Amino acid sequence: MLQFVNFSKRYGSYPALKVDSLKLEKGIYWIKGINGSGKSTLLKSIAGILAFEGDILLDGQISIKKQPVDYRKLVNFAEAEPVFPEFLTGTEMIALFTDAKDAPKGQEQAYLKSMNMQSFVDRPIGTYSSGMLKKLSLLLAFLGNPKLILLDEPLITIDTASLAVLNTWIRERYEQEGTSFLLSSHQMLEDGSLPLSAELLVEEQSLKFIG
Amino acid sequence: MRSLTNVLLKVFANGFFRVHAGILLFIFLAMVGVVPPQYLIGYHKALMLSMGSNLVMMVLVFAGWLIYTVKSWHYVSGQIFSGRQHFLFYSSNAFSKQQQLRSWCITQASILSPLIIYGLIAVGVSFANHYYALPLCILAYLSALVYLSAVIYTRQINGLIDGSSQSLLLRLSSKWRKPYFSLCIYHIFDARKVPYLITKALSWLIITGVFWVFADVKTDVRVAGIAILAVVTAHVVLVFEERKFEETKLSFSRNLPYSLMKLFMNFIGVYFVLLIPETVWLFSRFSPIMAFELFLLGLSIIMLFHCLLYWFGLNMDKYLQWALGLFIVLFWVIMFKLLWVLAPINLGIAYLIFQKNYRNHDPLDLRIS
Repeated sequence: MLQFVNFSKRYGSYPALKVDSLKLEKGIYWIKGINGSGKSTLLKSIAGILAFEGDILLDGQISIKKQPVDYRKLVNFAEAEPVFPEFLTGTEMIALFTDAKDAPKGQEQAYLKSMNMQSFVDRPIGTYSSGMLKKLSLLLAFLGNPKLILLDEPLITIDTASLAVLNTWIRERYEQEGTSFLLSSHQMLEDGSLPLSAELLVEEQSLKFIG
Repeated sequence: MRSLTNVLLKVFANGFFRVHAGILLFIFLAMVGVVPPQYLIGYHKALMLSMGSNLVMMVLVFAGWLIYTVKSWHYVSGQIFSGRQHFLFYSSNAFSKQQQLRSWCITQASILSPLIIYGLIAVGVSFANHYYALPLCILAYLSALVYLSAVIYTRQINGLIDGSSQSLLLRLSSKWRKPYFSLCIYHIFDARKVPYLITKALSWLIITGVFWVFADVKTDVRVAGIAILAVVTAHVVLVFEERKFEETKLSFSRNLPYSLMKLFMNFIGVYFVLLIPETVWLFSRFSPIMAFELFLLGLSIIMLFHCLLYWFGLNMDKYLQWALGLFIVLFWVIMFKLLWVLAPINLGIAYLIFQKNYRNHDPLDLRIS
């Protein structure tokens, strides 16, 4: 599903992360690592937000460098601490992502309902609490028909009830559409809440399988 | 109470001078450099004396001071509601109103210190020359400015934050679709109205000034070309603001499937809208072909300024040096009547810089975790 080819990310002269060669099959992966280990750097690079050397391939053929538009249609991302223009409303952000990611019309409705977002989604983002903002960014990551969804620290700032809903979203997309997930978290995922394929660890500027 | 004064001075007065250091230095140098050194003291003494003896002169100076004060209100109010200073809403207003007013008076007096020092010297000079009525007005006016400002700030801090306030434009446009390219425009008209209006005022001054200076050859396309070059150069701050918004608030868009060409056209769209007032002027003044040529020139120069920032990042010093350098180079190219060639070359170079750097640079806001 995802393949790293001589991946290397530096911040100035400081080497942040290096993955020479690694292949991930379809599945749900939990990326562990302490604060500052490079989990967000890894996810932001896969999302196409940070620049890096080397290449990342989706399904063995779609390269983030050579087919940047096709790749971005198929890889969605939710940031750990999302930032959006304060003057836009949640509905306007959803419309923007629906257009960009070619999402089927009305796809967001079920998500809005299950996460109880209808009451605030029409308000400007500047009035949102951090939990509301986080819910919006998670929803945006589910729009369209991505093959891979990257969720950076999805557990922080949302309440336990919403967490259970998020787990259902992930399980449904994985089981019905075969969407893969990379979830980063320094906290424990609840036992059995998700059918995890494997656990990965970001440590000593590299990424490896655990066990 | 000293603790409050100390915090307010550090946050607001120091902040004000840090942000406005460049323009204040410029004004200072302009005031010192306006006459040869040997006449400097005599010149300012005469200026101060006329302030203390001539009503019209005094009113003119008061108007200038008011502009400075309004600028400081704009800065301080912006800071008060900026989020980082929210702690003042649950700390400073535990002091009594009198104490708060006193601390804010000291802070505002410090912000106005360049005016106060100049004003006090003028009062001294006038007293020494036996003028009394107008100098007393100067003292009263300065005190009133300080006190009024302190009252405004204290009111703001003791009111409640209304996070839902939205500008008229956004309320009117709430039902419209907002495509990606429109976001930068909404940002400018929502949060950067003052820089936008200042830029447009500058544009008008430049156009009037250039055509006044070159009144004898005003139908020459080169004069119009130079006016457009100067007008676009006046937009550098707006271009910088727009790029900053893109780096900080639109970093999510780097994950969206937009091609580089689409993004480039998107920014052309943004500047097309921002340059509408100038375009209207061009088409009302020149023949359609000449107006179109000049319009294309302006758009190509502004895109070049925009794309430079992908290359070396949001570095204002370097950016201003490049803007100045490019101004000189383009000025000479226009003098040789190469306007038609210039537009495609500018756009080509702008696209090359954009293509080489857009996906190869990291957005400004880097949270390594």
